[in-house]
Amino acid sequence: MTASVVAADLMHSFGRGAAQTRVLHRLSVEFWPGEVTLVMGASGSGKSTLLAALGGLLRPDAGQVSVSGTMLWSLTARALERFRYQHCGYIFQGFNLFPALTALEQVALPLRFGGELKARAQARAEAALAEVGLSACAQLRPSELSGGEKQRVAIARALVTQPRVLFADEPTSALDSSNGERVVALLQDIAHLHGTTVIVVTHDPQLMCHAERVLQLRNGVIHQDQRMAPAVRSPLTGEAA
Amino acid sequence: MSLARTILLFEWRRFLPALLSVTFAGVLMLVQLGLLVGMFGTVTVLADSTAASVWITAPATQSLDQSAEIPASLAALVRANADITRTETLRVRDGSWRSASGTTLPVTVVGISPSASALSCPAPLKQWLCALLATPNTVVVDRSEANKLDTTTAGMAEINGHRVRVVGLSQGLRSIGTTYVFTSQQTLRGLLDREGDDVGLVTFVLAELRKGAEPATVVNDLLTLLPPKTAKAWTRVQLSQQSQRWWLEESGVGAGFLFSTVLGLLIAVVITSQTLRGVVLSQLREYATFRAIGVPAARLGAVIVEQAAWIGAGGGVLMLLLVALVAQLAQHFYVPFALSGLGIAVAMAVGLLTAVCSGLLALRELYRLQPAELLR
Ligand SMILES: Nc1ncnc2c1ncn2[C@@H]1O[C@H](COP(=O)(O)OP(=O)(O)OP(=O)(O)O)[C@@H](O)[C@H]1O
Ligand SMILES: [Mg+2]
Repeated sequence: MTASVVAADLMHSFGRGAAQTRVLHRLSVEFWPGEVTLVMGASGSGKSTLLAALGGLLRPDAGQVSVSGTMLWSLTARALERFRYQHCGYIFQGFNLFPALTALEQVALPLRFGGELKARAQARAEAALAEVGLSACAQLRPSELSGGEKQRVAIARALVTQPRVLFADEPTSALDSSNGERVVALLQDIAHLHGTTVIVVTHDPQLMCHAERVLQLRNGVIHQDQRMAPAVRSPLTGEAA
Repeated sequence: MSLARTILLFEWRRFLPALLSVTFAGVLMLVQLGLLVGMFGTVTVLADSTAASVWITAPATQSLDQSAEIPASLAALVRANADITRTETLRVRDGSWRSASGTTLPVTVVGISPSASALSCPAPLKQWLCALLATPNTVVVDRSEANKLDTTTAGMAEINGHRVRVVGLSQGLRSIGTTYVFTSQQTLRGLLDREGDDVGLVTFVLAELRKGAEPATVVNDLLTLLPPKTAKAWTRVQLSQQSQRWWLEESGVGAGFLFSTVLGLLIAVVITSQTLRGVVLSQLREYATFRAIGVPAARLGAVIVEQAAWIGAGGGVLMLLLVALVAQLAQHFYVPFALSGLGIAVAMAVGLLTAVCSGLLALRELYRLQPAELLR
């Protein structure tokens, strides 16, 4: 199997001169489809910076990222946007849902912005909501959803464009532990079902049992790369699917 | 429903200040404009309310209310034009009014031909008041001036020391420049002290055109016919517009209006763009999520601009309602207030433009947005 996301010699620092902090230092790493990879490390170790560079959101000072064979940082800004729209999905700590929209409208929105017809967008959004187990909540607004449900709506919104790679930065840190596990288990199901490459930044060791692989980031490089034994599936997974 | 409208309707309270600021800037502009046009429109009420489509004045006339006298014999000369069917003279003189209870006031006495079919009979007097003026020593004043003149129907008063009787009150013949008192030419002659001076002199010669004749063409013909040092010909509309322009420029009110309108619009732009900016900022993370998945900033910007346009349109409608109310009030209190469809259309367009510009200003936040910064 070939790696779907390949980072080579990533360098990145913030600030200038004496105040300069080096965050990524000649970091190379590969990610495979159908797997959940956790990126862990101390606060300030550069996890978010790495994820943004991998996801085409932050141009590294040096190095390349290739996603499905495309060199991200050789693309023009417009081409990079198009590439992200076609291949990448993002999930963040805050759920970032519009208070005015129902769950169904939130999920259909990426397609609507992409120029999809209303009826088709709605049908695909319904399918994505069903996949995260929220068909019953389609007409509810964020104020009527629990935290875990909101994050699952956000996941459905990331899924609806059928991305090859899902980037998640601390997707569970606003949730309690059972909701957090359930969200990561859901991401793992998605990885297995669609062959999606899922990269999750987290500092919660409890999530390790829902991942194929755990990376430890330290001093700007991958300090430890650990394969997890196929875990006993949590009963929660069945519910979420 | 579009995202823009969904957000707008769901969070209408947040957008309300923007809507109201557009509304009030528009109302401010239209009410000022209405008062201004209404006020200066009254300067030419004498011309606007008569049926004569061509007017002859003294050559240096800048405004209807400041016209020197011309020879009455010009009427015969004017009649030489084949398109002119009828002429009449109109005489306007200053006088001093003294009411029965002693209130004194300078007035402008207008001497017309006392007949309902007369060219010089203003439309509001046509029905029956013009004919009543055939009785010697009778006058008509406007209802809105009756208080100031301290008189009423059948009231007695003196003009230049001669007794006159008010036979009726007109409606719609108020002028900000002066207080008009309408009477017959014959009565007017009796009111003037030094009669010898003005035999054969009048203020205006009015002409009626054959049906189908073009006033502008006739005026051009008359301009070559009339001795330029003695008289000048105008269409009624030309004379009216020139007089209003003169007042607007001479009084400085025009500049004041422009200044306060621009100020009002600036304030509206600031409030509207700040309101929209606040709404955008409060949803910046949501917008950032869509920037992350590769939705171009322009697409997201279109949402903001659409919201701004709705605010402009809503503000415009609210503005119309308020201005209609103001117009009703003005009419009720005899305050001259006039608005043209053009003025209203311009105000609506300016309101919409204000809102859209504010929306464009608020876009800065979207274009500055770095998803990586915001979503870490
Ligand atoms: N825009 C920036 N300007 C300056 N320094 C920055 C900027 N972004 C990040 N940094 C610094 O880079 C380092 C890595 O930041 P990063 O957000 O990647 O850490 P992290 O591993 O995600 O931390 P956490 O677990 O707290 O989220 C930190 O020391 C941070 O202070
Ligand atoms: Mg982080």
